[in-house]
Amino acid sequence: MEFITDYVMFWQDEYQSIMTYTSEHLLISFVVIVLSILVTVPLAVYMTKMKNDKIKSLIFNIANIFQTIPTIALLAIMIPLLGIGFAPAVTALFLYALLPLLRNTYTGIKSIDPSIVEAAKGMGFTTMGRLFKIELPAALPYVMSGIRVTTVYIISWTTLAALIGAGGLGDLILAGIGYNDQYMIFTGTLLAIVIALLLDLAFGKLEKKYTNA
Amino acid sequence: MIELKGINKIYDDGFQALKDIDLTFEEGKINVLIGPSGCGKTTTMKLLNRLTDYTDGDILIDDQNMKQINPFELRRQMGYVIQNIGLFPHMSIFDNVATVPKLLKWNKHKIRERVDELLNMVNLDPETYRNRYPAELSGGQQQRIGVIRALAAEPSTILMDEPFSALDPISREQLQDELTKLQQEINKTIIFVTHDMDEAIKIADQIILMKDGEIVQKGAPQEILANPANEFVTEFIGEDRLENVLPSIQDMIQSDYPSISLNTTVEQSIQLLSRYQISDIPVVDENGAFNGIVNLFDLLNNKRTDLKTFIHDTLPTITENMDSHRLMQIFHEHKSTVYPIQTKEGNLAGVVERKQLVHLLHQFYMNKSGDSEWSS
Amino acid sequence: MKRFINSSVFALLIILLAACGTSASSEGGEVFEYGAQKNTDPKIMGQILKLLVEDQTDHEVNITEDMPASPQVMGGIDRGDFDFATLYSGEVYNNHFDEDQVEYSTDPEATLEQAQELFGERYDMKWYDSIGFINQYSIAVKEDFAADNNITTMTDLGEYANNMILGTDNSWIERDNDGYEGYQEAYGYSFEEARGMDVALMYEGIANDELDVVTAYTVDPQIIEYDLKILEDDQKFFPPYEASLVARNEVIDEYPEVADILDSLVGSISTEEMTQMMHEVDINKRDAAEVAKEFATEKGWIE
Repeated sequence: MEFITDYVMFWQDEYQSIMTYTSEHLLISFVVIVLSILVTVPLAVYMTKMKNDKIKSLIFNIANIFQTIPTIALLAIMIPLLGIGFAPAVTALFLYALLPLLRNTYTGIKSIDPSIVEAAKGMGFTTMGRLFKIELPAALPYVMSGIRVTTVYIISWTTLAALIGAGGLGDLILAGIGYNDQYMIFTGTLLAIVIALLLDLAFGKLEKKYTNA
Repeated sequence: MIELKGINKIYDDGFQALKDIDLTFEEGKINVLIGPSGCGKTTTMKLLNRLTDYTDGDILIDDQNMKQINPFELRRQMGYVIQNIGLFPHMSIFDNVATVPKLLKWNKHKIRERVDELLNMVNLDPETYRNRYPAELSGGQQQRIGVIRALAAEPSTILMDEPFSALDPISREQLQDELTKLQQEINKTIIFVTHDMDEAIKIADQIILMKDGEIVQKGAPQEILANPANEFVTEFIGEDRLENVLPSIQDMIQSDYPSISLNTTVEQSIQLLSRYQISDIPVVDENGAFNGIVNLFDLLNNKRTDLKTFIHDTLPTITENMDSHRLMQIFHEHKSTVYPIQTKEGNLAGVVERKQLVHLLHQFYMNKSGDSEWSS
Repeated sequence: MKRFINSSVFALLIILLAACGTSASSEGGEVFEYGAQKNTDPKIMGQILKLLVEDQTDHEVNITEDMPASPQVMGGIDRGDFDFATLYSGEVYNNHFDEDQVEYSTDPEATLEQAQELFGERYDMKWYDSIGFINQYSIAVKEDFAADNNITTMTDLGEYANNMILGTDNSWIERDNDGYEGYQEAYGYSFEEARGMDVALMYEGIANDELDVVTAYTVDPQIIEYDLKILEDDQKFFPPYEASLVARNEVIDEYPEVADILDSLVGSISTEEMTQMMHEVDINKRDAAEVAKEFATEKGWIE
């Protein structure tokens, strides 16, 4: 019982800062998600049309390399270029999000039944008409599930933003570790999980809406 | 009418896919392109909506060179049905069927009417199916939609690329039946690709049999079955299928079957019929033209004296060069002991007797049930 | 079946023994466990301890590195996973004890005494007197900035603070007694902005002029490397973080030869010496074991 009253007290005391950490977290994640979708989805579409397999695997390899750079090293490289805080955090997370999103979207579009494309061609769609009226809408469920998975990743990765002064729930967790405050660790972790689950749920609903199974 | 003149297709690697193809697809007919895989049948079909291109030669569509037609326009004027159906999963049945009319910018009201009409045509209730999505339909239903989607903008030509081969045997049979029935209503020029000889025989007006980029034989199904051009054709059709081919009407005809002339009296006719021990006899006029049949029991049970009043002509006209399968159908629908056969000019050429046909069918189905070729 | 049970009991015993922290070494002695936080000074201390124990006794020391922070190391000691560690006196004010148990003070002796008493009792361990180096929070700016503006104390900085961006670790902003809030009260000024981040990146930040002022730890070699100046804590705001070795009582009672080594390390390494070693490891990227060995040889602790 004492634990519960203590924890309620903690929330009362820290409410303001918890809200700050949460909103920082949401903002960073949101910008990263939007940015990576804007870059990745058109790139993936373009790559599915690409004949040259070498360039394709080169792009995948580059995206893969970003994944393998240790976080601290990547952030350290970015300080001279982008400084401290929001910009390098978003950039680093963007680079990390690139591969899963690119791969998911690419395989998503690739997995459209080729007969759909052939039917559309044979029915007299122009190339652009086919892309926007048929191929992209048909790939949407796959693309959406790629975005959904990556979003959950990004929510969790955004805790790393705390390493470069961009705040977020990672700040709360790390502060808790350094300051020996279990409530902070617990709250930061819990909120990150809750946000990830809520977004997953929301995307699931959207996905269902666009998948007419 | 679509004409292919001296069409060659050579790939960059030097492989010649089509060799000097001369071909006419008859208007309002089902033209079936058939052959083993790699024979060029699909390539030939895809030339027509320019999904693939040819190296030299000419294709004329209603005497206009195809290359002068914008490919997107061309495709919108041709229906296209493919093997894997290719319905757009994100669109309702309505939107799928309405695809080409929308591309052609028909007005909404007209599109709506057209879609309902087409759904009714394949016995899918518009109220029920209009707003469903492809995934909610069975395979057979999906391909019905595939077919009516191709018909939507009333194209004069429809290309069908192995449209039924991915379906289960029952749906396949049903759709084949529906297609032949539908064709009687719509009378389109259909170019149909298949590798299934049974299917070709069942639906084709003209079969074009191809091998290694060349046309080996073309003609009506019975023609090809009756006179295979070479060993390859024989082999492709299958020995068994050839053995089981119904003999042509000419082979079945009994030209020495008796007949009587119009001015024979009733009395004489009865004597003649009882002498030959037959119940029906064809009647011809002085020029040999077929007039109908008289029946022995009719003559016996009535006191009329004029033979003409006994003549009945309820059987459909059967001519010498008619397909024997059609004869079977008449045999099934109209009961008679004899089936008079006429020449093109309407003279009596002879008859086919019912008991002879029964014997023939007995043989035919004995073979069929004992043979996997036929039952597959 | 019986045999199976026997061997599982045996396996279980091994696991339990291993979990007790000690197991047999190759030379017949024990294998002790040392837990190190992720900063470099506890790692070097571990290497020095390991060297001396393995040089002077039959025992061995196994070092587990990169525990997130001191509380996790203490948790390890509590469970018996670790036998030794390096801890800091100021940790006693770190949310471990209720306000009526511990009395906040910035006096080094009072702080050490409380740490020895309170932690010693709680974890049944001995908290030795200071090794000699101090690793506490301090405020540092670039040396040329300090020189140009004649800044030597934290009070001096007040004049410029509202135009300065502070980089700090992730917890300083949240700390009650010795955190940013207390600092603002004690010195009466705030910085334009205060951002928590990884300590390594914090130094990168000030080196690249992305930050103007940092909460440096007094032993960190980056202070020398990046020409930073530690300002004098003229208000005696920051509590002392004197480094001490700790050991489980059970171990030192049973192995007096090990206790002797631990005793010998009290007052043996100055802040400057530790900073120097950390410089070798963090900046010159040398192996901590090698640097420790060099130091111990120089001191004449080993041959």
